[in-house]
Amino acid sequence: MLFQCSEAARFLIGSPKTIRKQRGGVPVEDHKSLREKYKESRSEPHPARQGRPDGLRPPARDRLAWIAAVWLIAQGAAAMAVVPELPAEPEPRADVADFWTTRIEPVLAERCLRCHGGADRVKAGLDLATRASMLRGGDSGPAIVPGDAAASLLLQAVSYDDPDLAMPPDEPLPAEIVADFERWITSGAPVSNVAADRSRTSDEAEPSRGDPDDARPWAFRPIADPTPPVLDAEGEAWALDDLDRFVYAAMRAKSLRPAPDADRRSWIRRVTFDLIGLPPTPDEVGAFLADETPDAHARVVDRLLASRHYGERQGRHWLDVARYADTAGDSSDYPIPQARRYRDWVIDAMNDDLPFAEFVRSQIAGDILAEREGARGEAYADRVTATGYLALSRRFGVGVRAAPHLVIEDSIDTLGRSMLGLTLRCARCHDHKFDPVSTRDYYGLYGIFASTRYPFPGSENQRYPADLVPLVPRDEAEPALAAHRKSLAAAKDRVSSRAEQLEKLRAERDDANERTRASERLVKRDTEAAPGLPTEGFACEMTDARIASRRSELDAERIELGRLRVAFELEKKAHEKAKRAQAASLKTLPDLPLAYAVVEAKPRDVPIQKGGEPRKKGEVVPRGFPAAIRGESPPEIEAGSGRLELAEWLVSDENPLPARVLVNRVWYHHFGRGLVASLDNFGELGRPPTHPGLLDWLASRFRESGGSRKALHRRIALSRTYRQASVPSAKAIETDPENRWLSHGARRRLDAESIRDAVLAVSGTLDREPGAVHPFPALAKWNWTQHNPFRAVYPTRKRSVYVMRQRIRRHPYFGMFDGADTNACTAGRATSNAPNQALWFLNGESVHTAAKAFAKRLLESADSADERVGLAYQRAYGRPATAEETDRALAHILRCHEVLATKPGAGPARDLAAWSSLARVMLAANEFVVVD
Amino acid sequence: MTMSDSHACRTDRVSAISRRTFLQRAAGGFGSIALAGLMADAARSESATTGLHHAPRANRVIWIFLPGGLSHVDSFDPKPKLFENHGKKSGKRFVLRPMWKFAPRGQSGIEVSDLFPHIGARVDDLCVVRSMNTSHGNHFEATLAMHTGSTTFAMPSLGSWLSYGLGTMNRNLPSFVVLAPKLPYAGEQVWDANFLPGRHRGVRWIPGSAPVPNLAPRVDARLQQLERGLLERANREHLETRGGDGALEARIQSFEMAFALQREAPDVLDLSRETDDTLGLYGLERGQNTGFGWQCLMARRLAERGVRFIELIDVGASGNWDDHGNMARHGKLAKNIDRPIAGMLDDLGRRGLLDDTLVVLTTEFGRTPLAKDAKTKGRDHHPAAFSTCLAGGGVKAGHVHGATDELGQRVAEGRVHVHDLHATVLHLLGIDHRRLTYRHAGRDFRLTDVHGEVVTELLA
Repeated sequence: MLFQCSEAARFLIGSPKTIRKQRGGVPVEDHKSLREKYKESRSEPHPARQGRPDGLRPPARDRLAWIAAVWLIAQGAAAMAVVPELPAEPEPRADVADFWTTRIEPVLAERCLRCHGGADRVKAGLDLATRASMLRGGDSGPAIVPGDAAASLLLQAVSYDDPDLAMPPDEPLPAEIVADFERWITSGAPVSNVAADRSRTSDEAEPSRGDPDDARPWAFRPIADPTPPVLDAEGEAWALDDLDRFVYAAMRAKSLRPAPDADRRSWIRRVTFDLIGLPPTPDEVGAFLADETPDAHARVVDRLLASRHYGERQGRHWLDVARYADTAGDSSDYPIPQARRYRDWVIDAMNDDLPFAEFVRSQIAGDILAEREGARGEAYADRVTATGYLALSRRFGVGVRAAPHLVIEDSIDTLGRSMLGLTLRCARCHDHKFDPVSTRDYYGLYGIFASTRYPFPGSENQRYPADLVPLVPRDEAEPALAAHRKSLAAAKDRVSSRAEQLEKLRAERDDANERTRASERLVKRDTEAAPGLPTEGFACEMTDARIASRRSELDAERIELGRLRVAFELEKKAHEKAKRAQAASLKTLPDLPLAYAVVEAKPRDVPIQKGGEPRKKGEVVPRGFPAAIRGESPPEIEAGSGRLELAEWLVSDENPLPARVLVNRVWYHHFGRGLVASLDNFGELGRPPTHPGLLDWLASRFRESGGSRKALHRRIALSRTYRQASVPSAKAIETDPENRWLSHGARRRLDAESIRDAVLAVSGTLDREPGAVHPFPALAKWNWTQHNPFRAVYPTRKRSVYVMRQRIRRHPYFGMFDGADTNACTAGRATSNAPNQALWFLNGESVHTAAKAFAKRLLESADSADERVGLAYQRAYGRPATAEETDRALAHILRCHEVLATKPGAGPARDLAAWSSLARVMLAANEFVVVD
Repeated sequence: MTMSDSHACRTDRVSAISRRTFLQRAAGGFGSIALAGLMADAARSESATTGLHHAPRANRVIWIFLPGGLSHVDSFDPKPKLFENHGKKSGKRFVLRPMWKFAPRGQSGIEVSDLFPHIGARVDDLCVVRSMNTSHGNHFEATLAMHTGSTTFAMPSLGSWLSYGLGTMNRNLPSFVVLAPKLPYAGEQVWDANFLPGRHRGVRWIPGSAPVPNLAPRVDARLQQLERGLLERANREHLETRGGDGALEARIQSFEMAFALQREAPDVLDLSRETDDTLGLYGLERGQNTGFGWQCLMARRLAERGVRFIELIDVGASGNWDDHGNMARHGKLAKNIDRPIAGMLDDLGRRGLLDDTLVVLTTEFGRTPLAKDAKTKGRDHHPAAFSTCLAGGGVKAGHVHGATDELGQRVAEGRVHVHDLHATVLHLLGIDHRRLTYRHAGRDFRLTDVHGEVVTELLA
């Protein structure tokens, strides 16, 4: 059931090596890459399409494609990285397997499987996802008859001879590809025997590890601890660490050789940006260049690992996957002033090198642990704060605690992608189509979070937060909480006693009113004497006396009524006031430090929500963990939500995913590409590891070190692999354009944070102090609605990790430079090169301000123009200017002066303007934002 | 830089590889349509049709969105019963008479209310869909749905999908421009590219003296020219010492495009050469650079210059069409947009642009035909039924599609869900909505998720 849809996926990650063993078969004349051939053939008009007006001539089309490529080459690199690719270039020895994996399979994948790809994609009953299903065929009969191309419907279809059968429907395959299909069927339609070893892929260069009989997908198998490969003499001389042995062996298997070392300036710039996200200062570069001892590199790395900025850099990476934001994401995007405590906790955890297991435990179950451990003080606060990871799940709508199923979906999605490398979210509505995660598994996890109390950030319908969690233990918190409860209750009591009083007065007033009206009627009756009554004499006097008496009674009643009316109005005002006071009291918080964190709620198992619909209840599922990775002895959830057990399960030795995912992510941050390219998807639709042995070996070392990230960074940063120049060999360009085999360093554009921080740093305007509290409006003024949502940008010169970021409104700068999505786990950053970014560098106010500060610093630091240019290059690029660059810069300054001379302004102002102009160019240049 | 001979290489080799890698990614991952779009983009030519799923009927979209919920029964969906039964109780609610009278207009005789006299006069250009519905009754969610198909999670916008699928026809301008004085519900999520590459994000131009952020140089033009020269020289040298690199070149190009935008955008924004007659169509005074008339005229100018998707939003998340209290405000808001939209249709038609430009006038949901009590003059949110108008490329003109029941409460025939509208818009642009996908976070995403049917009855 679980794998019903995975046939296609498995099919796509064929294993040429296993097939290569079945030698013989199809002759292949040349070894040109399929992709080249495919593209070439596509760029020629197909016979069937010749004469069409839209067919561009090949050279023109080629050139246009090139322009398109350059123009967009860097867009969405990370997102594209998870796009399943055509397989790698064929090996020099082409044989059966290569023919299948390089000529047939990718064409099927690209042009056929969308409609005929198994599971629910079987148009006309035809499934082309496996050889067996092709033999079985569809409504019209078997798709292929091995050995008999003419009898094979598949060939007839792609030949486009029969209009009823012609496939693919949109556009015929190029003639050459059709010929490939013919050859393939004629030779018996051989395919990769993927089922025999599903972990082996076209990417793989190392012997398989682990139990070969383990039928589970690679990522679910236990972490192996392979012995590093033994290398040839050249490799031995090259490798600095066992890590390098794996890389070297894989590289050599692809006939690649390592690049020479990067020069020292490039290396220190690279490692400084990678570890702390800032450029090295000229002094730091100088000290390293002057250090001729063998451990010069190690000294730099250790200095960086000890820097407070290390946590700011690495913490930001974690905040990306934890979809950190300072607002909730509901329709009015309520701010979460306490969120920054979680941000700071993450940064501190990085700086303290908190062991990975603790890092995970705290975020999943910190509140439970804090209670259990009887933690006090900072230890308690840290544990509680860490659960911000869950608390920060997205909120929706305008209601109070609206759409809890979506909030929990976000928790599960984030958990899956950040820690397990799995897209668990798919299983909300149906069993996962590709990975062994069922709807039962999903609702097993769901129950854990449904048994957890999330804080409420405030929303249009209740404009103040609730269920924030004290940062001190219960006994300490109780007095403040009690006082707060008491003040709320008192405010409420005041309203009700006022209301009571008001009602009483209302009744008295109404009574008095009634009485007065009655008396008025009597007086009126008496006064309007009935006919026949004497108008003079005693009788008359009697009447007058009665009337006078009645009148005086009436006057008294009127006075009383007036008094009551006034009293009522006064009381009404007092009541209104009390109500306002009560409303205001709701917008107060207990007088103690609070976190946006979770705590335990009443434990409960939940029913499956059929099709993801909360109202369509199915079978109740006990709380638990996905069956496929449950392990031999999963922790039993007895009492409580199960978060503690979830945390233990995540960090258990039996769960291979979190360590692999983490190690891979750290690798990605050093090389711009993970050993598993799909950073948040280790499942069937993800990319298999290029170096499975290395991945497991690193994960083993990571566990051995007690889950120390710093040790992992140190190992990678000091490796020979990391030291390589970012200059690909001709062979690498030819055969490994993506640098999967790591035969050279990775040139990368800085991410949004590093660009901003570097601009501030070189201009000397960076505020290096850790972030403080965001200047959100006071709680009493919280009145945001969907019509007037919370929107703010708080300018700061602090590091980017401390900039306030919202969910609904993207921060204008980070939105422009491919910053993290604050609404969902961001596994890796894309890199786009859009003109609005260039405009920011050219005309942005912040760039102009920073460039001016940079220029001012230069003018103050050196007297001669030459020196200033030298200093500018040192600061911005970590290297001296060449003579030519100096001349060019000085010429620029002169020309600026010429232009500026035509405008009013004193000499020094012109000088500053001229040097600011140079500074802007230096900040905008590729060299500034790209690290070799 | 130390490098051995084997690592030295020529620029063109790297470039060739980069190109190939790029094309492989493009082709392997999301079908040939995006690739075709990119090539068309590069070509800036008629080759835009190459590789589309089918021949397009429109090449660009002008998408007019009215935040808050336009009342269908006061505008495009005549309901005589509401007039007849005014004040009567129906269930728990009360029939509320529309404030504007309906009358047949144009050759087609389609009824449009006095709320939109100018648009009504051009009803023969319109395809009026009276059977729209959506899945959520809150502004935020329904606004998100109308733009991204999703009521909950942030997803790429329709304009981003089109930009991604088709590319731009003018490299000097963004392919997706939003002209909006204020932020709508759901803020920038409305035009966000989300997981699609960043360049497909809508770029918001704010009506006023400086609509494009960071467009105006802060320094003397001669100084910037000097800076440009120095920058190009430095980048070229940097590129050469690194043996060429597609990503570096892409960034160099982004600066060239920025300079092109600096050159081109002022021309787009410069209305001085528009005739008085044209300005009059939009109800614009000479020199005016705000107002919905300005937005509409700018939309025509962007359409002329090859921008794929132009969105016009008249008001923001407040002070909009959300007339719970009194429908009278509809009158003021309608007056603001009526003449400009009619003028734009006229202008597009005169210039032959309407043939391949799809104009859509829509909102997030309709308004309740019944009021909550006998005194209320306002209407509440009504996701079950509302109206949307289409005009131009590939849709039937002077045509009504679908109908609501006699009080305008439910769709009675020809139901068009938001997903169906999206599928139809993509279809008109030459795209099969089921095949424009993007692999993200472990699955192939598409605009219409697992829903959507092309409404063939609308197609001309």
